[in-house]
Amino acid sequence: MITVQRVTKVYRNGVVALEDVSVEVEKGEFVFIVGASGSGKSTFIRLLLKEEEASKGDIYVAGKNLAKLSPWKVPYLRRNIGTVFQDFKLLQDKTVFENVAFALDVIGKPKHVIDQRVPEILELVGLGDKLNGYPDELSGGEQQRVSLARAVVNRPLVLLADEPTGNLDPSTSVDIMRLLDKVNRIGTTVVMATHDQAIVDAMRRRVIELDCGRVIRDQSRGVYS
Amino acid sequence: MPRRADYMLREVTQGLRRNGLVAFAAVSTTFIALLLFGLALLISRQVNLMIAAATGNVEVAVYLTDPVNPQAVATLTGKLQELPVVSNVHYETKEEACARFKQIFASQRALVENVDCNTLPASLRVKLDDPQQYAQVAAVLKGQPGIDRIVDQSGFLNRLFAVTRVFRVGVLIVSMVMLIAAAILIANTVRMGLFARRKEIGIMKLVGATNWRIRAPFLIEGLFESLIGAGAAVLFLFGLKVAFINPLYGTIQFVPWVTNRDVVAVIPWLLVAGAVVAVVASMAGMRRFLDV
Repeated sequence: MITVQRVTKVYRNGVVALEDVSVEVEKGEFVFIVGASGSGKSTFIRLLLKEEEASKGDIYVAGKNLAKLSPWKVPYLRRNIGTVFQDFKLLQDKTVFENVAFALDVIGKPKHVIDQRVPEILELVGLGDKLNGYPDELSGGEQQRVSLARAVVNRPLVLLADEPTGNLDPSTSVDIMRLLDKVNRIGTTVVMATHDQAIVDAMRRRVIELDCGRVIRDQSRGVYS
Repeated sequence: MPRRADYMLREVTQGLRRNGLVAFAAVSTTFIALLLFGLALLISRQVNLMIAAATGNVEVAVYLTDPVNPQAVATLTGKLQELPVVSNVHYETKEEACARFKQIFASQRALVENVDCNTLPASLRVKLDDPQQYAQVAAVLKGQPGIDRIVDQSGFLNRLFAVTRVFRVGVLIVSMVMLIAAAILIANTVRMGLFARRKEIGIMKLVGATNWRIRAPFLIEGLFESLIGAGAAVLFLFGLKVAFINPLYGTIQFVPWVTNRDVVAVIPWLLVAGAVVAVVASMAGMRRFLDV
């Protein structure tokens, strides 16, 4: 599902974010990317989304060579990739329902699809009773669940999560991880960047550790360190 | 897809409300720019009408004595055509002169009804490659029979042109400057809209909305502002025409004035200019913001 071959990313200011990184992620896998701040986790995620271009090496996501993907096709790539971030990225002036519906609306899904799928997915993340609430009326954990619902409502092949529990307390984090696990179990490939040791240790999934832009460990059923 | 249209409309009106003051500045600048542009076009039209009335687009008019002697016409035409500087000689009969008169003064019925066509002379209308060479024509025709009067209209025309050209060019330049200002203001409203909604746009990009899907509301907003300005300019032009030109109908005889139809003819130009400015400005405003 994701193939990263000998990828190096050097930012314009000369910072080497990733150096000679090779990673292969199979369909349906659940992968943690761990490492200290500045180790290149976020860059890795951004490269997969084609928010940044690799300086060297090849990246394939869902069968597409990102370097050769023309700019106008990038949106179609992203429709196959769900994303969740530390800061939720919810629109404060839209309700829970509207926030999730927005993701389908702007890619041109018809209303009947939206009206069917959005309540369904919000039910799945346990917010079936808060459709008409606004983000600022929700707890952090609930907001992240809305964000997760939005990420998967279009049934992506891949879910990229960049520190999704970074702003949450431990017990709320566990709830989010249960949901990510649930999403993974229905066949979605999940790549999660984190430095939450407790979570990684508890899940016992594949762990790729980055340090100063290099892969220093790639371990199935691994722990944080 | 009515729902989509509904969405667009909502986006656009929201955008206009959000930065109302800047939008107002953009609309009013577009209005003034297009008003001046329209004025310049109408002035051109007015000048052309006056020139047509005065000369029938001919540099030299050789008025013939009445009644016309056909043989003299043939001789004169032959002599004129031998001159290298003459590009064209047209024999205008009294009937043709009458028809042209009626056409030029179509808006002044009293004039058309009261002028007896018989008073209009037949003439040879001579077009010159180089209007400065009028002297050659005068020399050749000197002393020939059948000529009532030779009128060199280029001198008069040049003076008329010189005055109106300055005026017309001046108005055009001011309107261009205003159009550029309008474009900058529209680009600015678009950019402010983008800034106000950068979070929304970020999410749209993340979930895979196409660039056009993201751009369309801003493009429409820019177009909307500019077309409101254009509409106001059109109304104002009609107002000016009614207020200043209508009272002149019939007061200054022998001068044809622009009509409502001329104002209508200007509308497409204003709309096109407004639309082009809006699209260019909106795209420019969006350019750097929307790089993936």
